[in-house]
Amino acid sequence: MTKFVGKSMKKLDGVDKVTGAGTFTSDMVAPGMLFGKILRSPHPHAKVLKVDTHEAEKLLGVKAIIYRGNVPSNTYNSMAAMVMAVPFVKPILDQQIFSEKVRFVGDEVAAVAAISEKIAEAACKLIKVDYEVLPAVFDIKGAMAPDAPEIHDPELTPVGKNILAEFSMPNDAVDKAFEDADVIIEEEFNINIVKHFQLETQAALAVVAPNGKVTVHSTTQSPHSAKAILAKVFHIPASKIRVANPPYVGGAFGVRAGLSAKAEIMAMALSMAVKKPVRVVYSREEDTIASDTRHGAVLHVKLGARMDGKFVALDLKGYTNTGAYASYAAEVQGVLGGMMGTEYKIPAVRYYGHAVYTNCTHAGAMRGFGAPQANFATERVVDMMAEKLGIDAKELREKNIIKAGESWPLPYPCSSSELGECIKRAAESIGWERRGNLNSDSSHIKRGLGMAIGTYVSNAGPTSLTMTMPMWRYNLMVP
Amino acid sequence: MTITVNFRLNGEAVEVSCVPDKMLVDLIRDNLELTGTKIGCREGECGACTVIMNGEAVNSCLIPVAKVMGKEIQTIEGVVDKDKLHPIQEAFIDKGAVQCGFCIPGVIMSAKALLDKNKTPDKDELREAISGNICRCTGYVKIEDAINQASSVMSETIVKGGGDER
Repeated sequence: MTKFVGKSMKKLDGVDKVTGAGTFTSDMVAPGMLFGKILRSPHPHAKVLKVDTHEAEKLLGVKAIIYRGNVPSNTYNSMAAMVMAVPFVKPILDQQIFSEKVRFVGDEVAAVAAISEKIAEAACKLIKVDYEVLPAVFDIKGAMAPDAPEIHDPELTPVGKNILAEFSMPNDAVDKAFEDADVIIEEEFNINIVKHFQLETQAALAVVAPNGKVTVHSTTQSPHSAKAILAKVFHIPASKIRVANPPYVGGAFGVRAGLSAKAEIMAMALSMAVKKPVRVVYSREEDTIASDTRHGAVLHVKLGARMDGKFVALDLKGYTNTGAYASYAAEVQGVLGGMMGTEYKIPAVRYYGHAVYTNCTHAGAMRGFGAPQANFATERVVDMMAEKLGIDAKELREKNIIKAGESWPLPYPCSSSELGECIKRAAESIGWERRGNLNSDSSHIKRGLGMAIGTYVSNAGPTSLTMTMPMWRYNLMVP
Repeated sequence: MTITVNFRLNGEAVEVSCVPDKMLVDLIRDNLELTGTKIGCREGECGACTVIMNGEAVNSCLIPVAKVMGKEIQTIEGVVDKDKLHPIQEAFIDKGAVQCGFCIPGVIMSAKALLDKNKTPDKDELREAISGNICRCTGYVKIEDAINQASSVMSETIVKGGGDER
């Protein structure tokens, strides 16, 4: 034990990474390897009427072109949720390799394998696509409106227009509890979409052997899930597919908690078509427009407190913009709602939320997985409450934070918490007592001090946390 | 049409025939098969492709090959001295400045271009030198710590191949 515990250990992959010797997907080559490029939709919402590859096929160096019609059309979900959901939760399968409709600017329409990336790119430009452009919607409320365009088959959105997942923690006691409140703060927050910008873009190298076995080297952060998803997409046994990191992955932050957007699928489909290794590396632009984002959200928060600062009720409605495809739509909703009631001891808490399709880039997992959106909104309201009550923002938090042994909305006890100590030390280290006295009247640059607390589920793979909360119609499995 | 480009790479003379619109990063990665230099954006924003050209840190994705003619280029592969890591490389491991590692070759090249010229940079000079390198994992604090450690080591010892050998 003492050999390692309490010691600063050198990173095992340190030498590989500081010498440039470590390989990432975009460094991988295979004998006879071809280069894949993807033709993407310029429209946010359109029917794909016809894909004409005639001219592109004639270009010297083009080896294969795939489009809807010459590849499988099994439906799937690009994230681990597809293969790791608890048995009674039905994963949302709303993607195909190429769909009849494109649903965001950047949606895949066709792909080319050629002897160079340049030729593959030139061939993509020669593919003629007939689109029937459809009305598009980008904001959450607009997408739920009665006159909004249907982005997916209404069978996928039984709850309401473009609503693909609902998560609720009903609590009838909340309305009554607000009657005991001396002060109520009610605010709505519009939270923007955020992108991971992990340094290595989505990439995959697929090698299809003559015996049908497939090896995929990719940027996935979940090789086992990726393998299971690919087996479903191509309808071949998972035992025939091997997914591996090469071995390093240039960051992820959630964006590839399953597949690396469509990199693995495109490389594999092209490789199967041409019977040669194919490598697909997204450009930064492709990565930005066509891989998961953090969910934009509209959060409605209502917090009630008594004059002494004690919180009595919290009511939150959360709407997340999941973009064109589900990815981790329902799961992010679950964490968003599930985490917000776990910081403070509040007698009555209620959550109601929807994940909503729009014609934006699909949203999914990103650092915090719904918790940052919820924490931001609730913490802003706590600050507003402090101001209204005339109580110091730190004191108000200390008065209300959850302590070990107290009840909270999660289905297991809060067995320990050092949140109070955290707040105390953080306040000391930033000199909280200076708050409000940092600026002289004459200074043009104004400085301020603030604090916020947050909470998040913690776990380790492959599946370490299963939360089953049938009373709230809520199940969550975190890969 | 191809052109022939002659330059020195990591201390050795090289001659490469390639198309004239090729960028240095592709020449290094594809023609010369040195994949330590990474591509993160291809537009000079992220710094993952940073190499040292005649003593200056440059984004190799923005350098057309014709501009490399007769130049002295150093990539991450040329930083290690046989089996011995450079003090900057040692410091990055010691200080835990490496996480996913994709930006690291570029950051090390920017740091090396700085320390080769100025072994005791102040905080502003250090930050200026790595301002063109985006790292999404570390938050830069440990990268700064590592460069400061390397600065201390290098200002006390003469490093072979480390530029200034006075």
